[in-house]
Amino acid sequence: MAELSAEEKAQKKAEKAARAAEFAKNNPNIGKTAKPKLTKAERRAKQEAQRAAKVGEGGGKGGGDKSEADKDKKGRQEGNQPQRQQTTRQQTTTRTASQSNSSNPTPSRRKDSNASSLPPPPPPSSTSLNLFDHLPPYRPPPPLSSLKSSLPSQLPRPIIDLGRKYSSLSIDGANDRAVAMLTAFKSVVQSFTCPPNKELRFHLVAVLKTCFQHLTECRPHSISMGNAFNFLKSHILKLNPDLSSDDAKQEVTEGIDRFIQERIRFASSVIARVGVDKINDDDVILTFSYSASVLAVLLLARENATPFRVILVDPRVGDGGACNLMAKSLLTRGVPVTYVGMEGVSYVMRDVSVVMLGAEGVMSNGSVFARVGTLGVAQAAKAYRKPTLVCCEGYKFTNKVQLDSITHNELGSVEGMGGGGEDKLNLLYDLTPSELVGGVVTETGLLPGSSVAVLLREME
Amino acid sequence: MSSSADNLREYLSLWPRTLTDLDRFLLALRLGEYNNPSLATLADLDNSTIGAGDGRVQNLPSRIKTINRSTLATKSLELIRSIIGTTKWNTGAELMTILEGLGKEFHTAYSKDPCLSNIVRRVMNEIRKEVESAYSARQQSANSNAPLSVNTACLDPSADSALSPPNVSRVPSMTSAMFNQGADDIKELLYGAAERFRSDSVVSGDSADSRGGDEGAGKGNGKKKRDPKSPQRGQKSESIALSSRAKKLPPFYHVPNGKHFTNNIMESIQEVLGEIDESNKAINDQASLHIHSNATILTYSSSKTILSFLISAYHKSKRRFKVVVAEGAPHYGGHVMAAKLSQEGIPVTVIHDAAVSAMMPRVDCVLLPAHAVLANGGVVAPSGSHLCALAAKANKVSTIVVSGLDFKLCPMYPHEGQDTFQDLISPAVLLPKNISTTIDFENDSLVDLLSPVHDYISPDLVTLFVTNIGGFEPSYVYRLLVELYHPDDPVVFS
Repeated sequence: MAELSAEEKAQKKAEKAARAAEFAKNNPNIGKTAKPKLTKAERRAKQEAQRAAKVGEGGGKGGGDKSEADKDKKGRQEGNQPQRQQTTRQQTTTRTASQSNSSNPTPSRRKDSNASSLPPPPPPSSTSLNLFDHLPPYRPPPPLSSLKSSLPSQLPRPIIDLGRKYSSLSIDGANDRAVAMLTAFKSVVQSFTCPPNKELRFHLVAVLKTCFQHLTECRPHSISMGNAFNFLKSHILKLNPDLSSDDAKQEVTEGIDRFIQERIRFASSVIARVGVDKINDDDVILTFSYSASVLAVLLLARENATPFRVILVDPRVGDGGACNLMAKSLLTRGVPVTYVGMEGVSYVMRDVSVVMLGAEGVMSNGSVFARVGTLGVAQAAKAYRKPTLVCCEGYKFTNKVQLDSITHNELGSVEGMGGGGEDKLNLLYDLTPSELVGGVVTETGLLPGSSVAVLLREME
Repeated sequence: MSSSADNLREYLSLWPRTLTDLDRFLLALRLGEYNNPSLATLADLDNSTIGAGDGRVQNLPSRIKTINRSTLATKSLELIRSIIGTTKWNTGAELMTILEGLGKEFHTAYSKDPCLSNIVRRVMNEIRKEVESAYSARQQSANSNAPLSVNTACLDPSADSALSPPNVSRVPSMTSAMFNQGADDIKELLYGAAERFRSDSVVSGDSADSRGGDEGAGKGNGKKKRDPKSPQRGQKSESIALSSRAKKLPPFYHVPNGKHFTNNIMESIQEVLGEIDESNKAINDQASLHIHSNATILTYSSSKTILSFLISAYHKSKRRFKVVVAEGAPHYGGHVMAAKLSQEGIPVTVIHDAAVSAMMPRVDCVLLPAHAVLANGGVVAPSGSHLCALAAKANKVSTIVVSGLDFKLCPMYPHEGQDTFQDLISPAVLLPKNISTTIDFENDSLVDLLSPVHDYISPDLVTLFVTNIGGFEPSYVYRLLVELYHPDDPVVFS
């Protein structure tokens, strides 16, 4: 154990050095600028090499896109001698650490990439199933005191606050998370000052990337966040390089506002108008946990004075009262609610007219990635031959495809799942195949699942 | 016929002690000592059937105080046995009336659990078997004593009614009668059916007397002849007034039976008791047929039977497998189940009910407990297990219902769908624990909370039943029903 801690210390030191190097590069006015005459392309290559090196330490544990980036950019590390030395040192320390602790064959990616910003993870929570070792283990949000001392100093304050909110799940739900992230990024952009001799676009993207990475470390990012960030990146990179710094920032913040307004808020209201057509008089709508877009549909139906009632299914996964929030939002507007646990779905399904579900994202093959339990509800709906609609804004469509809920998922807290020594597993999402989904309600209308890929292509 | 329960009480008042026993049992039922079957399923695990338990299962995180259902079944059987033993009934019909009365008493006290009705029905069937075998024994002795040959007896219409086995009105006895007596007795069968029909239409009155006379003649010098009508009409205090159903029983039910007959009935009740006792063992013996090494088995909520099945597979059959246990809201029996399994050294992972469908592609087989098995092969199981079965079906994973059929097999059909044997418990379990409730769940008239306890699983979702009488498909259940219960016995005691 002592050996291990020594290794960790060494590793941390290496981390710090790496971080310092990066920091110096990002803020040349503070650090000594050793290579000020680098071209844009060189600079970018180096940045990416650094990032790739950092990811590489995790023993290929990073997400698919990152390890690809790792492979692609490894070649560019040539000619970056000091950085390379650091990398190899880190790699050896990681290897010995994993050797000395054979019970933990896959060291956490987070531990390597951001060991200084978060406390060490709990002992490996891999269950006897060994099915989810590829997913980062759940970590409770760190106490604020330890956070203050350990966070990298260049992270803006709003990002740190947001990260804590993410990891404590006090902001949950795809839309809320995306909006919160974009809002935080807006304030980062506003307070951003481009260092001289730097091109604003690239530097701003780099800064936002570090912020995004920090948020992802606090909690794996949602599809909505990933897509929103991709939009932001391309929006910044598309800026006219001749713009003045203030104008550029203005342009970016306006772009963010527009995205929130058009792709999220307006989309939601259009979805409500599309979805409300499917609610007839005296219908019974079954919905599952909290979903902003489903809520919008139901509230619009209420405004239109359509008499209907809602059966709300609580997944009973200790999701911090998301379902309670849904119930309250409906009840305060006078919508009658029948509240039932996940286990009662089969019991209530007979009376249902339409099943309306929210989504975390829709994959290009039409399968729906959503809160865990959505698949069960959809299966029950199919068994009772009830129509199932999924309400999802177009910005949450993704090019990614997966075939089951195992390959990509997120692990949550296992608190309250029994007290014995048995393993516990809290999956946060599941994947509903497109054959269980009658239609996807988006701002472009009611689509079959097979049209998602087409829509994605059109949107590009 | 509500009077049969009253009849029973009036009759039992002759034996105040027995009546007190009955009342005590009914009171326990009413007080809910046996309620919440889902909570009770794990209560007292019988380690002797497992062999490797040796008391390791003692210090459990137990919030279970109720008695489990097999204990309930055993207790009710013992009560029935003591009532049969103490009371001075004379004929099979009287005994059937007593049991019918008991069935009604049980049903009134606790109608949610079909187990008690099943037990009573089961005993009624045993009594029928004994009465019929006693009758055929008498027949044989009569035949051997009587000088006339079988053939002439068949031709003689007056002898027919006496000789024909009157148990031909239903399919199983018909077949057994055919096998027993050979094809040349087909005429007897037909006449027997006619006779049975006659006895149905003639409920009471002097025709019964004449039939009794017929029987007496048929028996010849076999046994002491006694008029069956006189005791129940005359000495009301000594015998129970027959229920309308019992009055319709064939004439030989109205013949007094000897002591030997009582012993036989006691023996067959003892057999049923033994069957309940041995049930888990018989199921556990099949474990190696269904669990392969390195299998991932998903089970839902808690079940004493499944627990001992898995433990037996692990220790006796030496299979190394992993178990995924779904919590099983609202009772969260899965927590207890997982704790017990992990104490046995079996690798267990607890998952939320909502994650069952997500996990299903990586599961090799699903074991489900049963609250009741219905006549169509459907299952009443803990709420939420329908989702398991659906997910299993979607992923082509086999769903195995592991359950003893000694008292869970019910002769009724799920006409009410998900409402079959449904029980809605207090929705307090639905209310969030930690979050200060922002909704006034108690007073808000707009909100309605539901917490069903059971799910009905249709037979097409069940791959296999693993029971104490072997493994079979849902389509075979109807055959078991005719073996265990008589179709003339009431399906519902109400």
